[in-house]
Amino acid sequence: MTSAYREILIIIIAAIIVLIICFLIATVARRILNARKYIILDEYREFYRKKISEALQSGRTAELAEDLRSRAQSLTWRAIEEVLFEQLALAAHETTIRRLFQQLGYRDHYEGKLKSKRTIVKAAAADKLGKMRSESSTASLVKILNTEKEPEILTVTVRALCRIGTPEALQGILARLPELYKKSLVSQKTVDASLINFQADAIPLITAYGEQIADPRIKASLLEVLSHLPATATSLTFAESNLRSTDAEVRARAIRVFGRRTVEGVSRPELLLPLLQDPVWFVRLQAARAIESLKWEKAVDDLGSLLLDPNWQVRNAAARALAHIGNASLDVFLNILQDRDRYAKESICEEAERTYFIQWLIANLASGDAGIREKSRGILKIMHALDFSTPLREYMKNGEKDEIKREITLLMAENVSPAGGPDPRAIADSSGTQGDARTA
Amino acid sequence: MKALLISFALGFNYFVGIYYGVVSVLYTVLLSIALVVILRHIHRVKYEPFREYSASPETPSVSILIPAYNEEKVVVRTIRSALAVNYPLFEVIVINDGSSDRTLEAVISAFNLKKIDLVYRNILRTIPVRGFYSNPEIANLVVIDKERSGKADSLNCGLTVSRSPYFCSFDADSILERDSLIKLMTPIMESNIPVVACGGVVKILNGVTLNDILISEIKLPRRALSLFQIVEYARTFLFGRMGWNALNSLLILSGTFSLFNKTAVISVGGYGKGNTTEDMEIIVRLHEHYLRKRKPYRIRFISDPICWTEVPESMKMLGRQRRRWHLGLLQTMFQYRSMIFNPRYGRMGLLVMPYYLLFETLGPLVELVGYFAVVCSYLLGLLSTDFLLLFLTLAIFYGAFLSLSGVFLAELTYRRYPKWSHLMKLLWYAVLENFCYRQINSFWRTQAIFQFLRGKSAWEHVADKGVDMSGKVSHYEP
Repeated sequence: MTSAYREILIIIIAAIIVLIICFLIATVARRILNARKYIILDEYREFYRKKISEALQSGRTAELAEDLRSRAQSLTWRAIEEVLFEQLALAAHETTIRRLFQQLGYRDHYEGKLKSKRTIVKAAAADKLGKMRSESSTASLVKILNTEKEPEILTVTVRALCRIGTPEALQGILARLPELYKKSLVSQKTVDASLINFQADAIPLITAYGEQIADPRIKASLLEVLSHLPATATSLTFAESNLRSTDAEVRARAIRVFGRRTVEGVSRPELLLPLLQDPVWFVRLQAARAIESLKWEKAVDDLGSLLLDPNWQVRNAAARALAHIGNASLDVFLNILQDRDRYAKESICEEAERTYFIQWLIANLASGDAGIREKSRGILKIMHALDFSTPLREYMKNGEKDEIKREITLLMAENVSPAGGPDPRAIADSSGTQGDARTA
Repeated sequence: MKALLISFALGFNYFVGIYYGVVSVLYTVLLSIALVVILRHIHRVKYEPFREYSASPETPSVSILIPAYNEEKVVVRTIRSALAVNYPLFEVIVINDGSSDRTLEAVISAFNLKKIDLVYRNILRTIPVRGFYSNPEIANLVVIDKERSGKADSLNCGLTVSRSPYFCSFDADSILERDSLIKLMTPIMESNIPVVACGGVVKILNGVTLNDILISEIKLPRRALSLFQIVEYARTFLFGRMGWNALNSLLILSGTFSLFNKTAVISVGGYGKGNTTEDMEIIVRLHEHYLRKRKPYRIRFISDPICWTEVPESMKMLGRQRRRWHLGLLQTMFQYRSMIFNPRYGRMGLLVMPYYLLFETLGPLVELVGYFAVVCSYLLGLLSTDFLLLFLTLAIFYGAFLSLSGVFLAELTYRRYPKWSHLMKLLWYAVLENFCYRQINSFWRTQAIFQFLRGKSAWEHVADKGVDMSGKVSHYEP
């Protein structure tokens, strides 16, 4: 072996040994430093938690600001910051805490950090300003939004502005939104999830901006936000104006705004009916869900037509909506269940079980209203023929009312085919594999 | 003849040297990437919005799929752990895979379930389902009872019943961190490019103290075999996967707990049934599909611990597990051989798949033959004593360096082993690992290569894997 090879190997081994020693020292040193740091931090937190809490209770916040002054980034400074964030989350002394953040220099410190060139430092500073709901930092954050190109910083800044929640913050975001979306600098999900931090007072601003903007992605985001805020006349008007949008996502989200109301609160629920026939499946889905939320009985026939929809999610949503509407939908259920489409019938039966509508139907067997009783009986009979009879058997085992048990016994004896007529398979199987899962 | 043997031995020694050099360089690159990424992550985590997302109506719903085969003793604990996650909208679907013990009865009794009738649209062609169970008071729990057909088919079955746009596979002998699901969802929500799968760090449950379904005290297990596995998991998850993640080139996410986009998985036909490591196969299939279709996608890995799982505590069971894993790797490489060195698949075809074939799949064989060849060369007088010693020293020190770096990276993450004695023990085992554990592992993996060549594809079951496992027949593994 040549000495050159030997030397190379020895150098490599030596380098590895040095690296091992470095890792060992780093591991041990990190643990020692962290252990010391967190012990002190825990003590400080405990101390300042008590002190700040007492001062807030007694209203002696002017002296408190003097007492809490400390060097930026020191352990005391960090402990006080954490305690103030804890107090801010309690919301009892929000204004005082926000003022303390300002007086103690936290706001200025983090605003200064916004000028850093390091992504993590900048993003962390924006996040802190957002968490302390520093309204006076809105301009600095909006400036970041307008000048920054790093997606990570932009994402955090959008979230921070949404936490601050001022009209200026919203205006700043909305003004920059087209470019953020165009250049894919922030994900739509992030914007949607953050914008819902704005409260109902943001609705006029959102709708006013939405009326000016043509970009369907932005409109969809705005409608998404409105769908999570209390529905007002303004938001409903804006949603109404977008129900006929050429963009399916916009139509679907406009429908969701309707779902925030009861049917009495919506002036024109009939606007939803044509959307039940929309060519795009998720628009039909949202329409069915909105009607379910509205519990709008007049829509039962239109919902009934969705029970035969080519998309299973739409069928399920329609079945769920009908089940939710209750007795008013019995006729529709009965009509569809007497149809020949087994697929649709199974979807309905499944939803009737999943939503526990079947329990309602069983209870109806003792109803004083003969019409309701017969319709419920008819539905249960067909469900039984389709093997959706486990709840019936459960009632026979554990149910309380003898009258209902008698009805169940009778209807289980009168087997009908899944298509409506007598079903030889059901008769043959009547003591066998009921309740087994069907495979289609 | 002797001259030929000598030439062969010399040539092979050079091959081993170059091979070892290339592997070391690649590992060092991966380690460097992982170190940078983890250091950045521990700062970033301070402003990650997962707490906001955990209460946001915008967070997509998720189905947690728990396939269970003979998990009578732990399944209830696992389901309760899954039901307790901090997530706005999710459902838990337990799939009883024809257990021969009282798994189903235990679940029915613990959650007061009743049989219900659900429609089963068999889009992924799974084995027939026997029944469904639910409780109106726990509306987000559904239990499926089916005939025995393996983990992949059980997951497909759960996938068919699932009603959420995302699902995650979760082993029935594991414990979830409360924020695990939302932490996995956060990169999906924040990304501009569709994330089709996301996984995180799986830690070892053996030794830890549980307070009901929560980890109350993190401790090290007593058994040496578990300790070796802790070091190994730290290395594998924290620098192997983190490194590949930075290159969007992950070839595996742990089946113990990973999150998937349901549409993406269904579009590739669900989990493959003929593979013994369905978790790796599905990831490779997703890569293959999206690269072939030239659709943008991401498969992500986060360095936060998300889940705790049990590991085998006997050599026999560990051997079975490792043979199965390696057999799965071989099957996957063989199944997707058309991707290897295929420029159509970009970085995946030209770097990742060749790396896995040459260094992960064939590595154990080369390692064992390498030891043999070096010793033979020494005996034949082809190697001097000082070279032999230097070579062995290098191999051991480099191995120790990698293991120690894994322990160091684990120190950077949260939920680490808290006591000084834990740290010292792990550092010691990181060194010790290179003296016998690694070689035995290579032996098991080489056995799997021969099993594969003989055409064996059956799943070797692992019994008595870890804690609270006494009396178990068999169950799935991470």
